Amino acid sequence: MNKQEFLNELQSRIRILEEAEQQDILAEYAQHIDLRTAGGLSEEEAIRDFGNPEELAAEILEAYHVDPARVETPPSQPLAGVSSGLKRTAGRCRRCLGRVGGGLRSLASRIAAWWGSLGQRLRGLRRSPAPRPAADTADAEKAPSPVSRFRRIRTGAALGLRGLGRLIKALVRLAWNLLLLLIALPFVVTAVLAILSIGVLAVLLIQGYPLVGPLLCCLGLALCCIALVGLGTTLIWKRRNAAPSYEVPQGPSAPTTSQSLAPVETHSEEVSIHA
Amino acid sequence: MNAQFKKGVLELIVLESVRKRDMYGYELVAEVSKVVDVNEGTIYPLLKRLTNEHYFETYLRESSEGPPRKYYHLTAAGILYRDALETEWLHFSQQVNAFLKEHRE
Repeated sequence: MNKQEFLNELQSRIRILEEAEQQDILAEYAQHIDLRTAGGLSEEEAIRDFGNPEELAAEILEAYHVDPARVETPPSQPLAGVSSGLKRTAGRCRRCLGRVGGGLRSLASRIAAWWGSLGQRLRGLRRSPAPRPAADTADAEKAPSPVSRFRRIRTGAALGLRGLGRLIKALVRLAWNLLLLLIALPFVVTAVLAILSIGVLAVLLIQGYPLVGPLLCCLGLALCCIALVGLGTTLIWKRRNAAPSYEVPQGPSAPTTSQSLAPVETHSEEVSIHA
Repeated sequence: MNAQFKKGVLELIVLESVRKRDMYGYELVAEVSKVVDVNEGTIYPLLKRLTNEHYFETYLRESSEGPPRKYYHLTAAGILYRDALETEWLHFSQQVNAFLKEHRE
């Protein structure tokens, strides 16, 4: 056994220690061997004086109060390959899960954004009737006649009806979205459970149980659910992106009721644009 | 010499060796080897343990040849421990000697 082989062997047996400690110990032995060879001994002879590397490693571990019997012996070459392969797959799984997590996070942020925009729209609806009295009083000061009063009542009724319509529309939309969410929820839950069982099964598989089949089943289930949810969200997202063009024709059709309504309408339009 | 005997007194010998002046590992192994014929490999784990238990402090010092060497310095706790071990050893050896002497007669 030459110096490098001895150091490698020793390191493989004290791998449980911190990297810095390992290097410290190995440096000391390396220096000892160097000084012995400088004194005229061969590397083999110097190493022979250390005795059995296994006992030596056991003594080193004892110095750290580590029970050498509990430290796993260094794996042979093929096993090392398998374990490194497993480590690599584990890394890949972790990345994959991270990506899924990112997708879920973006989904959540989309829902939050949608919720926020809905809230703003509702607030806009509630706010839009507010400027009406100010505009109306200005109108009334200019021409306090019964005709204007009648107009004011009509205007108020029309605006109230339109507001109600919008409110109903928003409510229907909210209900529809909640329904979609409710439909999506079981799939999301199934996907999460499948991912969870993939983890459990993978651990059991590594421990040696024959669970490749169930693992693949869970993988398929998870992918299926994620794909379905993804499809659903994509469709909703598309529809939401198309929504502004749906609202545009509403604007010009509004001022057709009467001329005096025009300033009020533009005001409410402004508010809704701000919202 | 009996391995168990050696193991017991090795600590005392190592501590005593470093008491006068700081030494680096190889030097210390050579010093200890003068007294007891010991497996050189086993002294390093002992040094490590005594360092972990704060009886030794270590520091690196450049050497004229090769890489810097790690020197061992006895701490105050180490001195106390050494004294305790010495007392124990003297008491123990006295008792064993007295016992042997008693039986020889």
